Formats: sequence, structure tokens, C-alpha cells
Amino acid sequence: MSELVPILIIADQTEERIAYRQLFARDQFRIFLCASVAEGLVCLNERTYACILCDLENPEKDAMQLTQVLRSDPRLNRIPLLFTSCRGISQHLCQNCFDCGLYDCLDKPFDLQLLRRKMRVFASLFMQRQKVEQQRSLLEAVLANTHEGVAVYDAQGEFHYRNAIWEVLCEADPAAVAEEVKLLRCALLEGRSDSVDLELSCRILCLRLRALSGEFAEGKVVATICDVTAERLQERRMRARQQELEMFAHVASHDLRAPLRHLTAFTEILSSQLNDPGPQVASTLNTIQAATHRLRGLVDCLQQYAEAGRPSKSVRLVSLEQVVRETWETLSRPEATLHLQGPLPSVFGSPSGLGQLLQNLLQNALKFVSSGRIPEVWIWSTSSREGVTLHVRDNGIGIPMQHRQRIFEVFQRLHGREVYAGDGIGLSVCQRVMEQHGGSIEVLSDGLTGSTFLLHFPRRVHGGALTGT
Amino acid sequence: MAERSLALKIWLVEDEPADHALVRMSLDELGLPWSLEITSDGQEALQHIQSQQVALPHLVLLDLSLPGYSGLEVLRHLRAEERWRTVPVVVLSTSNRQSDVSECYRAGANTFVRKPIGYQGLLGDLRILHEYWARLACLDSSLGEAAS
Repeated sequence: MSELVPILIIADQTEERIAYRQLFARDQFRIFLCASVAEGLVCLNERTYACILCDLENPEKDAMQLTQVLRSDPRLNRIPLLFTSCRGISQHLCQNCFDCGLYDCLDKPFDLQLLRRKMRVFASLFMQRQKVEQQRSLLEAVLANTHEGVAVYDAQGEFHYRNAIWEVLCEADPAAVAEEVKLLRCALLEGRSDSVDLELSCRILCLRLRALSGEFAEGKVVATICDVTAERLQERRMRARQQELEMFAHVASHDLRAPLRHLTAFTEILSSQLNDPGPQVASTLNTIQAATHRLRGLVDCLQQYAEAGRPSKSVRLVSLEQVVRETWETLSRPEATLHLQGPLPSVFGSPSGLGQLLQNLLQNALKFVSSGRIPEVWIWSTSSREGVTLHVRDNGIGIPMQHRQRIFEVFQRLHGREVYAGDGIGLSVCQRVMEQHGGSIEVLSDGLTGSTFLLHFPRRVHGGALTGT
Repeated sequence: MAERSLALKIWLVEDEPADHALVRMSLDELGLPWSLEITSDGQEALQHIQSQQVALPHLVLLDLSLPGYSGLEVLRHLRAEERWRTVPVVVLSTSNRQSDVSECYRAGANTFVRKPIGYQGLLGDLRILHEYWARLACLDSSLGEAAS
């Protein structure tokens, strides 16, 4: 049921008030009747009205007072005012009233149905204004209750709108923010970047810009700003920790090599110095040599892992299909089959890193196969809004789902070394390479009939580092 | 060509005592004439280079990771000294990074050799290095005598 529209009627004659009530009885109006302008002003304080109908015996006396009050109050100055009088309204009063926002003057007698029509038009305008007002209030409430500062800039770079949070977040240096918006606007128009971090009085703020679209956009941009101090500090801590770990792995692998070399060399010397060591000593020497050999393998792994985490200097468009074919050439056993369902996409990345990634995956596919089974590998790609995914499926022994995270951890193995050789480094290197490319790796397997590795490369973003196409 | 019994003067810049021993043992086992001088840190190596009293070696074996100054810094200082400019320098390092190799050649290394893992590898490498540089040293001294 539609809401009743409030109408204020000021009529100093009792019969007129009764007549007006009857006239509008069938309309969707809620009529408020007053006997004087003074009484009407009290009513105006209590609510807003779709229209004021003023019917006065002596309009000259009170009309100016009413129009001045309405004009001076921003809350009231848009309410349509309609005068009627049987004494006629002077041209002088009419002019004054129109200057003050009067909508119409009717001399009695007038067409009652015409008055009703006029009132309906005012009611309809009132309803529309109410609706716009409600939407504006809702929008303001949403913008006031968001964590982000929101501002709209026009094509000249001037503020069109900003919410309260914007003011709070930018209060330390609004000029610096305005300057950043200007720079970012150029970057946005040139398609380079749409966001930037700025530091403002110990806070890190992420400023993001978007071109406004739609009928009234007119070159406006919407800027949002949010406090990302906690996130960025956490990211910095994580990055620093990651770098420390990489440095540690690199130094460890490098510094471990010297004693390892000495161990190997001196064991060799000892072995050659013992002319006839006897079976027990020979066996001990063999054990030392085997352990040294194994230690060397682990140090190599550690170095490979450290290298995989280091940002690549040579990033270019790499054809995954070419990498797959070249890697397969170097690894393939004659009986193994590769089903390459091309074409495979190209991605921006490190050729050596991607080569290492495919080599480790394909090596695993050839290695972890039940005895007597001919290894088969299927490779294909899919594309989505987020990026491209390379699927590498094998017909090997599979990976139980409870281990699907563990297999990417460094030095983790699911099988004894005597069953399947290896150091448990290959997949952790794969994961590091994918992280270096801004992507991720996951595995799907029923634990019995092979595994499918999914390599997700993100779509290339302007200003991004290693990303897919 | 008849071999001259020239004792190759080798300056080993290396901080690992075990590597000192291994180089000594290898040279002994090869049975080639040599004399070895050892410096164990970068700072000392710089002083050695800058000292005018030091007789120039026939060959420098230079490790890259040294305490004090790195082997690369030592090499740059060495090449900046006029009288050391033509002394052959062999970099011995565990690094297999292409950037390290290129940096060393840019700084004036004559050869970059990755430290071999085992004793036999070291023997082989040192034999080749010794023979090659001893021949060159012989040739240099013959040319010197001929000119005088």
C-alpha cells in the first residue's frame, strides 16, 4: 500500500478547512489543517510536506512572513507553496512571493479539479524526492560505514565527493594524497598501474583508482584509500624472513661444500695410502665415501632450492610447449609416452626456472611408476579469467590426498630411498619456482591411478613482476 | 721442446688450511718443481700486493671467499698494480654461478676453475695448470735471456 503524502493546508476560515478536507478525501494525501500562519509554522517544524496550500482572507498581511520563513530554512525552501484568496492577490505580492519560491497563485473561484491535479503533481514530485533522498542516505550510510576512504575526482582533478573516512585517513597530508592521485591518474590512463602504496605519518595507505563509467562519468575517477599498515608490515616481515632463509640456504650450501670437498679428498688420500686395508677397513672407507656422496647430493639439493627462490634476472616470454618438448627430449625413456595436447600457452618467466620445474615434474612422472607399467604423461592447458593452468598428468602410483601438502615441503619423502631414489627436493623446488612466477601448484590424485599437477600462472597485470600471459 | 727445471713459484691465496694441505700434497705427488707461498686473508693479500719487496710469483691461485677482502676485490687491486698486471691468476672457487665467473674474467682473471670435489680431480687440475703456466714461465724467461 502506497504511503500517504503529507499536505499542509493553512486556511483561516473554518468552512474552507472543511471544504478542503472533503475535496482531498479520495486522494492519497494526509491533510494537516491549520487556522493561521503561526500555527502552520509550528507544523512545519514537526515534519516535511509535499506542498503547502495557503488560503487566507487577508493574504497581504501574513504571506510575506510565511515566504520569508520558508526561504530562510534550507529544510523548507523546496516545499511548493500555493496561494489562494477570494480577495485577489496583488501583483506586488505575487512578485515578492515568486521571488521567495512561490509556485502558484489561484484567485477564487477556481477549478477544484485543477487544484487536485496540481496537488497530485506536487505529491508525485515529493515522492520522487523522498526516494532520491532515501537512496542518498543509504549511499552515505554505506560510504560512512566502510573501512575505506572513498573520493570522486572530476576530470580537472578537483574533488567531487569524499567520505568521512577519506578525510580521516588523509588528514596528515591531504596535499600529498592529491598529488599521488594526480600521478596515479596518469598511470591509470596510460594503463600502467591502478594502485600505489604511500606512507603518511607512520601509516601505509593503499591508494587505488578506477575510471568511473556510466552516463555521468565525464572523466571522473573513483579513488579509494585504506590503511594497509598491518598487512604491509606483515608482508615485509615475511619477505625479510624469506630472504633470510634463502640467504641461509645459499650460504649453507656454499659453506658446506668446503668441508665436504676436504672429506672427499682426504678419504681418497687415506684410501690410496692404505695399500692393503683389509675387508673391514675397506668397508668402513666405503661407508664414509657413500655417506659423503649422499651429503654432497643433499648440499646440491639445498643449493637448487636456494637458487629456485632467488628472483630471476632474465625474465621473458617463454613457450611452455617448447620447454615441455625440450625437457622431455632430455629425460624421456624410449618406452615412455608423452601425450601433449597443444598448443600450450607462453608465460612471462624465467626460462631456467621453468625448465627446472618441468624437469622435476616429468622426472617424477617417469620415476614413480609401478614396476612393469609403461610411463605415460598427458600435458594440456586451460585458461580462465585469472590466468592459465598447465595440467601434467601421469599414470604413476599416485599421491594419497592426505599428503598433498606435505609433498611440497623440502626434504619430504613418501617412500623409502631403496624403493624410489631421491632426496625429496624436486616438488619443493617446483613450488618455489611457481611462487617466483606469482602462481601456485597443486596436485590432484586418488592415490592409486596417477597424479595431476596443476600449475596456475596468473594473467599478466600491469606493473606486476613475473606473471603469465 | 726440452723441459727446463724451473721451480714454479705459486702464491696461494686461500683461507682453508685443509686446502693448503691438499695443494701441497698434490704438488708433491705430481713431482713437479714448485715453491709455494700462502696468504690466508684478503687484507694480508692486499698488503702483499702493495709491497715492493715481494718477488712476483709465476702463478697466483686465488680463492673467492676470503676473510677481510673478497678474492674478487683482491684480484681488482692486483690488476690495478702495474707490476702485477701480467702475473697469471687462476681463480679457484666452489661457486658455479655464471655471474661470479664473468665478474672474475672482467676483473682480469686468466682462468676460472671450479674447485674439484675429490683429490684425483685436484691432482688432474693442478697438473694441467702447472704444466701450462710452467711452460709459459719458461718461455718468458727464455725470451728474457734472449733479449738481454
